[in-house]
Amino acid sequence: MPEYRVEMPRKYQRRIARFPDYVQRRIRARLETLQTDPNAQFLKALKNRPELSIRVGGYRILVIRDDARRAFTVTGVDSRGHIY
Amino acid sequence: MGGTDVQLGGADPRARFVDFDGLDWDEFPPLAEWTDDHWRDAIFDSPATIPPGDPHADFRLLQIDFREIDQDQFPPITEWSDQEYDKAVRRTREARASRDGALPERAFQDESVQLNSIPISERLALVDFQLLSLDQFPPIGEWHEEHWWQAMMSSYSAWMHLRIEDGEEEMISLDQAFGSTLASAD
Repeated sequence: MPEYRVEMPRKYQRRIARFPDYVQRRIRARLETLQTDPNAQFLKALKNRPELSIRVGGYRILVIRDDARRAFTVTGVDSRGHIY
Repeated sequence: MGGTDVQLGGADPRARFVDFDGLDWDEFPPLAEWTDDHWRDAIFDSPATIPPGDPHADFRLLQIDFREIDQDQFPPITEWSDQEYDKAVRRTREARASRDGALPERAFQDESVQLNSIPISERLALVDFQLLSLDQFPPIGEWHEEHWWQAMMSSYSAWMHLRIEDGEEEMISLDQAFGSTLASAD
């Protein structure tokens, strides 16, 4: 049973769908991990921003962790160097 | 706010993004004494120029230096689209990187962050006290690092959900995003 819910705006799903299949699978795996490990070591803090970053190869996913709602929300998806 | 001050402010490109008539001048020194922080606060306090409650605009605004962008290439900020905010952030980054001799990516790499490195004004700008469940927090004078991070994240999350309620965003679950055909792998 997941401890945290992971959700994303549909526009990011459309963006992820354009990535190579192997990248999509790795992104999904990372996000699924968050459901049971909300403090996963691959989450990196960002300077001067409240989001956390997940690196998947040359791609980055930004998420917000809301402990009150026990949810992660994806707030950014792009290749490195273009997301911020 | 006298006309002379407005003319003085008009010489700074950031003046375009400030609603001088709507500012609470008790909160600001004379314009001639404004620092970068005052300009930033004034832009945030100018509801006529910044879409209220737009988290994307607000967060990206923190990264835009209006002195670094060629404003002839932008419409009035009230008409900015997502792409124009992104473009302004990118131009700011490129201008600074070019000046500092660093690659853009290098300047914005992930970094472990100490809360003390974030000025109190920026922390407050990232917290929406109206949207927070304040009963989950001690009085602000007693906030520790974890309280600040949680407040900033919860504010952003609440903003996102306001956008959903307003129909500006459609939120989907992980299963909906990836379906059942794309098996996960790491």
